[in-house]
Amino acid sequence: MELTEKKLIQDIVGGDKAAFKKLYDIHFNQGMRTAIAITRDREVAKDALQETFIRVYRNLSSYDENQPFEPWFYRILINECNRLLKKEAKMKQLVQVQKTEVIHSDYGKKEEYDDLYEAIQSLKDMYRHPLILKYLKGFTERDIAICLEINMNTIKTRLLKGREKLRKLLSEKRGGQDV
Amino acid sequence: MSKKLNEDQMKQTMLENTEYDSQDKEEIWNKIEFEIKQSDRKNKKQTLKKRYAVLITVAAAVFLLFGTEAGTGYALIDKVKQLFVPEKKVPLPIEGTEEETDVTLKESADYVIYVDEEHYRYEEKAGYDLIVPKVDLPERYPEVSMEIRQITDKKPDEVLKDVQAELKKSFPELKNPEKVTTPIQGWMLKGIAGVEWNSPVTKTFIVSNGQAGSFVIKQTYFLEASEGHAVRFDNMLKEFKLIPKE
Repeated sequence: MELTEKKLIQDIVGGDKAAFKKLYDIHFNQGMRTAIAITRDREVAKDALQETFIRVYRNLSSYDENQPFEPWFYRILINECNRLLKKEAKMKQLVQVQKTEVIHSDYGKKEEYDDLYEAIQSLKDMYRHPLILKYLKGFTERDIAICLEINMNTIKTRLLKGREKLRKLLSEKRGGQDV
Repeated sequence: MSKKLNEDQMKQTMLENTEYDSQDKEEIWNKIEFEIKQSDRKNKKQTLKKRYAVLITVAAAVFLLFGTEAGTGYALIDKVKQLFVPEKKVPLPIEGTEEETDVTLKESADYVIYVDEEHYRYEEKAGYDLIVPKVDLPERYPEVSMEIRQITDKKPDEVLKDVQAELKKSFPELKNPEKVTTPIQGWMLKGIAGVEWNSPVTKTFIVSNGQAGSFVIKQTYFLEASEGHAVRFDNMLKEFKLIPKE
């Protein structure tokens, strides 16, 4: 961990609220983008990021500053995204019957993505999450392994298979052209 | 498309599709700040209330359990044990799906725990109890076990330092102790020795024994088993209950 970040965390643990704001400013942009990519929903992403920072604030005293901060932070973020997505799915199930017509009329509002992003988002989470952490967040395979608490060889395999699946999906979409 | 171009495009498409409103940053920060202030205020108010509530609850429990039948300790302990059904089913989220597991009551002199006997066996050893996979794992797998050991003369805070020092020998990157409320209330120490599939992992809990001592519950498994054995161990630990002393 960089010295400045270590100092920042020590200051927050010591009760310095301004230091917490600095930490927020540093990690907001990439945290927000990652949450949007993971949840596929900007409103859920906002809630997940908010909850993540609150959890970080409350748990910093138990965080081991000799460990890298970002994999720890993103582990909390991904857990929060998954938790809120599950909650959201349950809510949707509950109102599905009454809202059938509304959902139908909302169909046209679906966000439009380019082919590649759509293909990434159609992958299973086991491939999608490592790809997002690598290409959007810029994590190394080791960081991804620490963040997802999965061994590094599995991460390498999932990245490789994820890319293969993407090539296949894009090739099918583009009528068999090589990608 | 070359590999390099592909990777650049991956990054580019993710950046383009994860744009957000410029106001979001301030909006979220305001909510975080509000939430933290609220909970700080609430915590202060509740601390006093909680102290009284705990005292009243403990007093009531002691009266109900012991107050009416002084002098019949063993009978009372049996009575407490009878509160636990011998077998039950508990939901268990394993690797993304939820399954129902049968668990069986195991009683020691000082605690009860429900053991998932479909997958594990419970062994009483000299000075400690051990839960290990029912079928011994092939040699290429690292150790998988959950050890329950009682230290009768040291409180959790004292035991914590000893356990921490001991674990550091095998887990140099041991994380700082964390106070947890689930699967059990107490201190938790977690260490992972590496990032390979078979890297050893420990999750050790230090909890009060309800008197002047502690229980040290040490889970040992490997990284690939984080979603399997670790979840099953935690699930059993949720059902760990102390037997009140006469």
